[in-house]
Amino acid sequence: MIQFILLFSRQGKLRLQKWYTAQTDKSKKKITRELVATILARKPKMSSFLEWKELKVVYKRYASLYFCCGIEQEDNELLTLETIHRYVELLDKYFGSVCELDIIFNFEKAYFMFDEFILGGEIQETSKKAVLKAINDQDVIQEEELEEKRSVLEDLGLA
Amino acid sequence: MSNPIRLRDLIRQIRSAKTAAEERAVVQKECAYIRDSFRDEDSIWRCRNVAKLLYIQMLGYSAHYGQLECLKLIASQRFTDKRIGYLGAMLLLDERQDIHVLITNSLKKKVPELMDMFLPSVRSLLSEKNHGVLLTATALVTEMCHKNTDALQHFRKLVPNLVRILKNLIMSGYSPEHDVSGISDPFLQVHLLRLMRIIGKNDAEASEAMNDILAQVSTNTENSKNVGNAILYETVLTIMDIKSESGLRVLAVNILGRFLLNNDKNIRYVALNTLLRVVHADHNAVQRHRTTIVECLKDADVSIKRRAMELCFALINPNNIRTMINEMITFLATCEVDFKADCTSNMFLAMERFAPSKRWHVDQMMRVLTTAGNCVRDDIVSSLIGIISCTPDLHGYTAQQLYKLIRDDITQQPLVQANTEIYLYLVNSRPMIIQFMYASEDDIVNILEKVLNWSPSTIVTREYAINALMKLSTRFPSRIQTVMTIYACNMNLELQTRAVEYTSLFTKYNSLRPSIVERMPVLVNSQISHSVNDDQQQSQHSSDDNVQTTPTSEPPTVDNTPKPAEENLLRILDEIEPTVSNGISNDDSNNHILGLFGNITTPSNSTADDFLFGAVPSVSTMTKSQSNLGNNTIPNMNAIDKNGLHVVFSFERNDTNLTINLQASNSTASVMKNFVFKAAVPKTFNLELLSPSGANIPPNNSGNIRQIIKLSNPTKDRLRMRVRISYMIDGTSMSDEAELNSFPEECWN
Repeated sequence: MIQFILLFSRQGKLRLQKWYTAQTDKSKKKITRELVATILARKPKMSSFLEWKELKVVYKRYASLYFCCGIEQEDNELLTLETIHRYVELLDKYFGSVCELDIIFNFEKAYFMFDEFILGGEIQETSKKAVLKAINDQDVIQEEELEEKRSVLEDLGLA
Repeated sequence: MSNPIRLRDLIRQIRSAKTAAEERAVVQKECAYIRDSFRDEDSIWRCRNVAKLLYIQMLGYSAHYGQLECLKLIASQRFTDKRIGYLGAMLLLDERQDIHVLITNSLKKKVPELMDMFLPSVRSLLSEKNHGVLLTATALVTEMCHKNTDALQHFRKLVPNLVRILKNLIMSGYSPEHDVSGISDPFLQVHLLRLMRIIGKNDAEASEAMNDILAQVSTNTENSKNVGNAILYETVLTIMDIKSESGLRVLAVNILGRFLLNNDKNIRYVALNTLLRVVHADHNAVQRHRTTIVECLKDADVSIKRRAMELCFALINPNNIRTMINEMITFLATCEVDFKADCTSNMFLAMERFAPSKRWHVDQMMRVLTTAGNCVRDDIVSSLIGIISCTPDLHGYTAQQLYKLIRDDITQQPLVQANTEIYLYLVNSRPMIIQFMYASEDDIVNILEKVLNWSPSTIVTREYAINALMKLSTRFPSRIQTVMTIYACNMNLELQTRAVEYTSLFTKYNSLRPSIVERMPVLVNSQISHSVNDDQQQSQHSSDDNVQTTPTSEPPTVDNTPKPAEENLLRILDEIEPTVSNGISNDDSNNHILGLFGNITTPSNSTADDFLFGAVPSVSTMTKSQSNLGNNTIPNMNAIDKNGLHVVFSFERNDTNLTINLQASNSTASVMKNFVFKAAVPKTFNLELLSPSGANIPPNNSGNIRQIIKLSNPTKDRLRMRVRISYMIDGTSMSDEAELNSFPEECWN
């Protein structure tokens, strides 16, 4: 299973973090710091995999963002690259040619996407359509709530 | 209280901060506001405030005071609140927090104990059409198999179902929803293959049922993209782990061989990694891809290079040793510094095991040393010296070669150390060696002095040099005494101590000096004599022995000193004579070279410490002791061979004293850490365990740990031993106990 997923920029700024095993705050920060430094120091001609403690780390750069997964020994590194790519595709579909700024300003949306795609470190839905539909359905509920609230305020003459 | 700023505005504000201090100020101001708002139980803006806190936390600021607010959001009626509340709970809480316990308690079911309830429903889940259900059901089964062997047994019945799902997947047509570059649902395929691996492991029947589909996936999967290779990779892992047909295994190794030629470095990486795992089980299949693997030594990625190197060493055998060592020397010359020490150590090990001849062995070792420069581990130097000192017929040649190397360049410390040590041993014990070196004795002392005085030399090298010089003091007392006096006030404590001691040897105890600087005994390198495994090597070895034994009858014939030098030689012998005759009741022919040899043999025969044979350098004694050894040879014993750990005992016995050389190697793919060997013997014995050569046994038989066990057996009882081993592998600790009763009878009888 995937143990954690980190998204960070070329400058080493953390953009998203998802932990599927319990970690203390301190160790989360330590792992992030070490991995960001290691990966940023790697040269482009190197492979996307590294052995790190008991884990295998798979990373891939998309434009200015690094996507990095910590997986277990029996996991398939090549497939993890596909997992990362699938997540990027999902974001791309959702935001419409996604860029780093989309993820910065809508980080909660990016997190929701993770939760629809991956559950407890395992992929739960391999259909892009199903994932995007789930996200959209939830967005619609939120929209409706917002509308409701607006109309209540309007009724009270507060809008 | 005014409306709080919106999340996106806060992000914008933080991002527009020019300095870290400015950013901190913005964050602190906002955090103070959020805290106030939480205190006021402001439920309208709680959702927005928690979202802001999540962003702030990602920047590395503390946000623990938002934890309880997440719980409140989860309890809210609004969907937006719940959505952010759960997200916040996932991000803000960690194991230590009490609130985390509150939440998990409300969610947690004792799933492992309820596993039996899930067993029957799995079958119906696996006949679903929906990929999400299939995938998660597969993940569930996988997890249950890991947790419980009964479940694993139960699910063995499901192999046909798994095979059917996989078959449907690869046969199905284009499905835009799940396909990735023309491959249908790779995520599901990989999960199914992995589950098959777990179920088929150690089970012939289940494995048999999988053979066909695995062959089908291996041949039909399109391999031009990463995704296809991900599936092939998983298939290979499954084929190698289950009890699959041999043809299938060859197919799997060939897939990996094809991976090695792929342009994608990631694919080469996993191929090498996997080959390393399987090389011992399917050696011949992997051997066929040797040239491709050797090519990977030139890869630009160091992690690929390292794996290729490890694999190359795993592939070395008596048939390819010459080519492989050449390849490895080429690699050694160009590779990164980090690789060199490992590379040289492994080359030495491989050569010790498979060297086709001694001469070749010595030649290659010197090549390795010159190529590796200073990146050589200490044990390599002593291993070289050990091998050279055991090979008397190559002494002249070796000395000459080494001298040539060192004459112009003393910057390569290991080489210099080896060299110095060789002088120490050879020059003093076999004076005629100097003739072979085309150098005068002065030259040699000059070089040693140069080494000693050259300040960039490491301390170890200089220690070697000062000892070597002292050894030569039988011939140049005054010159060397001067050197010692100078070094008696050296800054380095070790050199100074040595020099002071040696100075007093010159002055107060001059009479003792010749016997103290007596010639060196031959180094006994247990590894060389015991590491030979296969038959071919055995015969090779015995022919080597023959070469050495032939001259026994007529020592002078081996003395191939050039004729013109004879006079010179006699002079040297005369000089050295007091040393030699020390303690020997010699009476005649000291001035005759043959007589000298004759004399020297005497003490060695009478010495009690026979195993330090070769205390005397002449060829006749050397061979004599070696043939003695040959007569007393006790067969090796496999003490432990379990879970990839292989412990071999080899023995040297001297009356009631038995020395056991333990050699532990590891044929698994993972390193064995913290290896500890303990032993106990019956009361009539006395046991001494010397410290081992290391604590970690490298994987794939690429190295070993040695440990010496000394036993005294005054009553000559039958030897029994109780041993206990422990080590860590892949993070789990292993321990084992065994009673060893099958020691060869020669050990005590």
